[in-house]
Amino acid sequence: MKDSTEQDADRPFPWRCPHCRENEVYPAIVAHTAEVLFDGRRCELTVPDLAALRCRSCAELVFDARVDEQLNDVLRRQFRLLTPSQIRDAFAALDMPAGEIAADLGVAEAVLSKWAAGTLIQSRANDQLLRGYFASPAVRSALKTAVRDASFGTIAVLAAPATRG
Amino acid sequence: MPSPADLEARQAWLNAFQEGRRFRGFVTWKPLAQGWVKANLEGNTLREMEKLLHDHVAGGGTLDQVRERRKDWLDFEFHFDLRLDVGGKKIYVETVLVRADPRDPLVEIVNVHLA
Repeated sequence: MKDSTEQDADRPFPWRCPHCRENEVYPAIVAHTAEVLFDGRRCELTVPDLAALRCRSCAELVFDARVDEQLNDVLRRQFRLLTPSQIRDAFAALDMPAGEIAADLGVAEAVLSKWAAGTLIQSRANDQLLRGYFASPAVRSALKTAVRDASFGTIAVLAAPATRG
Repeated sequence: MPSPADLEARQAWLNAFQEGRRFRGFVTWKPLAQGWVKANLEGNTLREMEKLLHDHVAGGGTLDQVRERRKDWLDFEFHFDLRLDVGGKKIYVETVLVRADPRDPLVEIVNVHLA
């Protein structure tokens, strides 16, 4: 699966400015602060060297999906979220059908695919779920049980039962 | 008064988003519109938003063509608006066709807010 930032080719610069309509839009490094809603709260992300686009004629700042991807990367770093490539690598290592993983995690397969492609950013709760699922066969097994057995997890268990020697 | 976008404008608009999936330079965002998405639509990326906008119109959703009357926007004869649900929120999206040639279009998303 391709990363969301991968493209085959770009329209050559300069681009037409949406504001003054001059063909003067070029890549430009700018300092940018964004307000981002994450886990139900607004947080501030500061990127001192955002690779954006700016019109050399009227100074209009222009964003696109590639610019946005940088902010998404900063958000993932700030909240220590799995990156899309880490998610894809884990899927490949597990070598399980995406539908089975989605069912175990209790999410739609399309959502899982978007997390892996980087077009949706998983919440921290879902990130923790993914990490547990990837890291632990016991978690994977437990989640499969949870799918089948409605009583699973309704009683807290403080330690794994001792095995008889 | 809004009316459905004429066929050539609609095709140019759709082509911009189709090309934008593979190439850079066909869909751009005003920082104000991008900022609204980041501050209000949790977990969404511009790439996902562009797909939702495209799929909404390609799937038969309304793309309104509105003659521009606001003083600051008279450079554009029309703006093109749509309303759709994103993550349970009904939103309004205003766009302009910066380049209206269906073979070489450029759409800018200029404003997004709750419908």
